[in-house]
Amino acid sequence: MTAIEATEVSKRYGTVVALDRVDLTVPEGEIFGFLGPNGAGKSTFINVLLDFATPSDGSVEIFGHDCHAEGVAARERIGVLPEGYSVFERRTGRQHIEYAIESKDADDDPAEILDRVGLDPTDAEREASDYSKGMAQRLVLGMALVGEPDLLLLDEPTTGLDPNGAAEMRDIIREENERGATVFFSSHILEQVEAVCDRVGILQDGELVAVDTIEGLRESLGGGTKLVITVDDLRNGTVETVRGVQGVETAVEREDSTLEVTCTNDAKMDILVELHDAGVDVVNFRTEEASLEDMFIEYTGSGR
Amino acid sequence: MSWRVIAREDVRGTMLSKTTWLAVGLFPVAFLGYVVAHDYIGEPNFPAFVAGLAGVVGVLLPAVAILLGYKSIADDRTSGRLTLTLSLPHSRRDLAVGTFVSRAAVVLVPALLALAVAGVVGAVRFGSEGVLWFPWFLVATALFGTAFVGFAVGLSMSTTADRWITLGGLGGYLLLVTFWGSLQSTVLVVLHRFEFQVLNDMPDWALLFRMIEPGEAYARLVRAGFDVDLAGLYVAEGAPVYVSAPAALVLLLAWAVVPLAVGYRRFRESDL
Repeated sequence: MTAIEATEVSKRYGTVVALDRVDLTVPEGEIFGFLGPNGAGKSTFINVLLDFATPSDGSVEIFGHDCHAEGVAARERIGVLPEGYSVFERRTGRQHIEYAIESKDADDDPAEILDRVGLDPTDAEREASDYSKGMAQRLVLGMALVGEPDLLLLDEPTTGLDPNGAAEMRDIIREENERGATVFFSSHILEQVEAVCDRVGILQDGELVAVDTIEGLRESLGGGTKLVITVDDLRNGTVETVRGVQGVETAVEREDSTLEVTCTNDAKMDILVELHDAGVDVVNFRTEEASLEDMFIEYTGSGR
Repeated sequence: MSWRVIAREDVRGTMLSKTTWLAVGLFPVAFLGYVVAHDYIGEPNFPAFVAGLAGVVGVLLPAVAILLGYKSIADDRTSGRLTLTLSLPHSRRDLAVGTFVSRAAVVLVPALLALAVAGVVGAVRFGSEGVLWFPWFLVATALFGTAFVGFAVGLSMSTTADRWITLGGLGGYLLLVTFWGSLQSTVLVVLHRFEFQVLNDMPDWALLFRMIEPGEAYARLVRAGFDVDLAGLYVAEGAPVYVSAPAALVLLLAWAVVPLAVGYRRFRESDL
């Protein structure tokens, strides 16, 4: 069964196109990372999934239920950590979890859930409106976990969390996935996605520009080699020279006379030869496997 | 039936707010205060006391109902609390119904309790004539309050623009409570080319026009239980059936339901 099935989903606000004919299928059991720079349309897509926004064209289904026409049925089996929420005033953390339990007709133990997301009993009895952003994220993640949902929908889940908290979040995502849940989460932070996702989709200006596994994306990058070259003196035009070499995907200038180049495997030697011909002395060089960040820059064109 | 969950949560949230307590705290003050005041300004019998009490209700209850309802959903929507609620498997209709029921309960329970106490004290002071109809007075009051809660919650669903909500709440009160009668008279006089005589002998349709005002419909309902000097226009000989007590009942229900339905339609069709 398919967890999420989006067919030609478009969303326009006046003349602005927030989503442009997005086709996406997320099968059950997958951890899917939804990547894109801020403003690419990630939240709009999630708002369509939650029926907060009605698509201008196309449709989205969650487990076969149309998100707009059968919104409640679609949301019955999912746990959501939305973006841009605020917690209820004058209600404790524990009461928030209890509300989620009542709403989902579940029988979880609030204490257990709170413990799992890292809120201790003292925090649980405090009013949630006094929480820090990170604690609120934990609390709402707890609300999402109530009722063992079949799909977790997490919009920028690590916002406000310190690195430790982000790691705990990833652990929970893995645990939930092992239990059998599908996980769909959006992020503009690449390492989050790289660390846990089976597949990623990259959204740019409302268009889904790539959907693949991390490995697949690396391959499409021509072997995915990253070359870090240190030269004696980085002159004007050196970067352009490198970009001119066949097989080079991106070339970015870093500090300390260092160049970062992603390229096909065959192009490595050519680059060094080209630099030599241009009269640039190569002091040092090493190769790295391309990270998703390089791919991300590649796809969204935000690095050049 | 998830509107119950929403209603329960909304009652809890609303009850913890200071504004709520200040607003509903006005009920016992005003109603019991009137028991004392009636000694000086009213005839010392129970029906007259109820009629006077209805006058106090007619001014105070709409104000409290609008105050506690007009921002209910709009505030949750702009703050992002609604995002959290609607991430759970609740429909927007559940939200509308739940909020309406909750706010109606928060307004009406203290109002009716305060009225019941005032009624008992009143009966002791002014005699028990017609006291058996007092529950009817409470029912009519509940309907009257519900009409304004429906109006307010409907308003809170129709827009998120703060100034429209404020304008709508204040304007709604002024129009429906304060100026309806003058408006009706003005329209009538203009239509009759400034023959002011028409105000003393209104055509039948104008009676209905006037009774659309919730306070008039409420008075008509109270008059159905107590033979007092209230809503005299509608009980005069030859008054048409559409200004009878059942018609007043229908009008009050319409005031609760129609704004709610209109607000809900707008809410359902908009993006959060």
